[in-house]
Amino acid sequence: MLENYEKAMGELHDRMSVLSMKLEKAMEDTWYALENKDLALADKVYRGDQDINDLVRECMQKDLSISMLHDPVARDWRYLMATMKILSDMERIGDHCADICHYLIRMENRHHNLPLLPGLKEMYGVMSSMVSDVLTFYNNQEKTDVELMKDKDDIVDLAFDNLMEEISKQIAEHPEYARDYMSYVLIVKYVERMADHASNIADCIIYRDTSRIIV
Amino acid sequence: MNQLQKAIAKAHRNDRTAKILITACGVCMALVPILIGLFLFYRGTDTFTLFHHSLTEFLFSGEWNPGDTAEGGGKVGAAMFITGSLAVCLLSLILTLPFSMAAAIFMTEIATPKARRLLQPAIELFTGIPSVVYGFVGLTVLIPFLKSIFPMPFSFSLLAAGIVLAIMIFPTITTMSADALAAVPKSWREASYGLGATRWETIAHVVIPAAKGGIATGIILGLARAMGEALAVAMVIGQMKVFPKSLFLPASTLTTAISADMGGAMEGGEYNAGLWTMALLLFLLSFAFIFLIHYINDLSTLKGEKK
Amino acid sequence: MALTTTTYGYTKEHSGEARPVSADAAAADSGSLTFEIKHMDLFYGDHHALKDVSMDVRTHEITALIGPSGCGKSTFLKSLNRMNDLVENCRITGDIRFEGKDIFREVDLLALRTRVGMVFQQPTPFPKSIFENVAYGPRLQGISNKGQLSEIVEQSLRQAACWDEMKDRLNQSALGLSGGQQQRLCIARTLAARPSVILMDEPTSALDPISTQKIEDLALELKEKYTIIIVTHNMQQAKRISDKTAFFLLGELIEFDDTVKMFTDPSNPKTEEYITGRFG
Repeated sequence: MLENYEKAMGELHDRMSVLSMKLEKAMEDTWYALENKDLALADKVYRGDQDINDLVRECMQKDLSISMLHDPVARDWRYLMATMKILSDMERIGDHCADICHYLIRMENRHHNLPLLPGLKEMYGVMSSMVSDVLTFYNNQEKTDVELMKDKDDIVDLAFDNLMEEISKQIAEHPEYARDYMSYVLIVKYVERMADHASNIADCIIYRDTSRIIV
Repeated sequence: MNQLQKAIAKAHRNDRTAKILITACGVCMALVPILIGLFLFYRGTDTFTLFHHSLTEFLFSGEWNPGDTAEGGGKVGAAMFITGSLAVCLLSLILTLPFSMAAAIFMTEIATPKARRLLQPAIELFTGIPSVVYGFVGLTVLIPFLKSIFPMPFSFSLLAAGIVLAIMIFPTITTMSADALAAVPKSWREASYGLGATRWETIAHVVIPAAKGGIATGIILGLARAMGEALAVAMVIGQMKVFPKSLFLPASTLTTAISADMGGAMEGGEYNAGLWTMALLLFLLSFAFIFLIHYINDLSTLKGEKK
Repeated sequence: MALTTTTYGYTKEHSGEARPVSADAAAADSGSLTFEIKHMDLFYGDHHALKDVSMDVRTHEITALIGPSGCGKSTFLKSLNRMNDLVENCRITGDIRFEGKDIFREVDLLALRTRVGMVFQQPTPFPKSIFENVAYGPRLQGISNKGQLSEIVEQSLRQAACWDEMKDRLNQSALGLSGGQQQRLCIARTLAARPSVILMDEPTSALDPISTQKIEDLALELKEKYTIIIVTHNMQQAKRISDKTAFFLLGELIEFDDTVKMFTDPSNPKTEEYITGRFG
């Protein structure tokens, strides 16, 4: 019985690793598409979200059946419960990448060729490092650096405020591009949300490791 | 397959053969007491059919004066022997019971395993001593001893017979009671202690009631042995053909009467017939004892109990 | 028909039977300590079976003792009502206190066993009638009045949730009952002696799942008036019913904590290994 259990847990862990890699690739590609206005890539990311959702569903199934069949306790229990919640955050991150790509395509189809917002690259970079870090902490069982995550989240929030300022300025100066800038608002919002989800994942990892619940 | 079939056929044959042999042995052995019984019936009813005595006379009349001839005409009242048997059995039971129970309880509840391992074979050794040895020791040691304490005009006495028999049936009753007590599951004792009982309360309220079937069986087996003992009793009871009037006077039992007079009584005569009837009575009494044992065992299981 | 919500939130139908309060339930209230055990060691001859065990058992709680076979949990349980006195060559050192008093020096043995009752793994009803089984304890305590005994028997059988089943066969042999019924009868028998603590040594391991559940429900009801210590090799059972859990291994008490804490985040890695099934 234990063999079955270890095997099932191993499978879950492997699939989660694959999911993590797919997610990170989606994030990289999203930025590349955004920066280089690569619409083909954006389309690929948009359609690829289906894959990510399938994988999330698969992992959730595995997690639920292990919980039901094997009566896990202690560390195993915390791992399984944390993983369920992390899966839903990861699914949202994937969704947001797809959303960003979607709005990018809509924006570019209006052919206004707007320049990249200043500060967006840095904001995306910090968010992206948050997601990478947290996935590493999860998959490799490394200790989560809570303080670092909080600092980066603060940076992202700050960047969000600045970018909102910038966008309202631009809309005032170029009202003909208002529609485009509204798409930009959404894109920036999604980046901020992705950082939030990364933060949530960090909290779940803290539960897995210490049984402390942080909301 | 052929080898297998042959093996199977042989196995079935062996099975049938074994069954036939064992059944034959069993049936033969079961026939023996039946045949004895039939024989006793045949000879034992002569008193009533040939010599025309009534059952009432045989069982209740104290006049024992059968004619030693084929014509009969005497009195065949075996009451004094019947009373003598009953008296000596009862006496031996009363004498041995306290010691038996004490020994059984001691062996199973109190003695250390080491002590038990010494005591048990010692008691079982008793059963191996031949009756004649008991009688002999009774005659040479017990009777003078009793004579020195009690007034014994004839030396031989009912008391002496009772004591000898008591010692003879002691191991039977003790070992059966000890087995019955030991068979009571340890879990019942533990449960009793767990409820706050002392050792004696546990013995009195749980162990002994649980073992009473086995103890009763032991007592009845002892009684049956006492009833059937001839030699040892004969050697100390005096064999006077009188009613047992006092502990210190001699008497007779069914067994002593048969063993003493069977050789001398004329074949086919009334005396002989009377003795055969006494033998039949003894035989029937043993049957009665066996049924009594079964009855008591059934009684001791409460209604609704799974046996 | 009254509907009550049980601990797990599902509703259960009651017949109108009342569950009377045990008149002599523990005088101590929740929060106090029923047993205080300090540095207890137990030897069977030369074998050191229990090593330096210390534990406090709170009143009106269910404490579960878990651990692999041979770890000493049953031995420990049996020490609490001095059943180990029946074992040859058994020596106990250390301090075991029941309601503040040393059980070897300050409490009478019979009184201890009356206040600290025990239910065994195999149901052990006496070969007597149901009535006489339950009345055994009270009779030992000197109660012989038939009316009083009847009352105590009824109360105890009600508390053990088997009055309805047995009230029409009180004079029949207890050996005719099923395993689950026999075990509940044994619980009633223990309750009739008016204990304040009930020790249970793997009480459901010989029973089917339905009987097991009935006895677990019973334990949860009884803990309101009694203190219960239960040895179990079934961890799910420990999780379902106990407030505190103690983990024994090779004669040592490895960890003793709130059940939820122990099963979510045990402090000792050996505990975690055992409860996640990685050994034992």
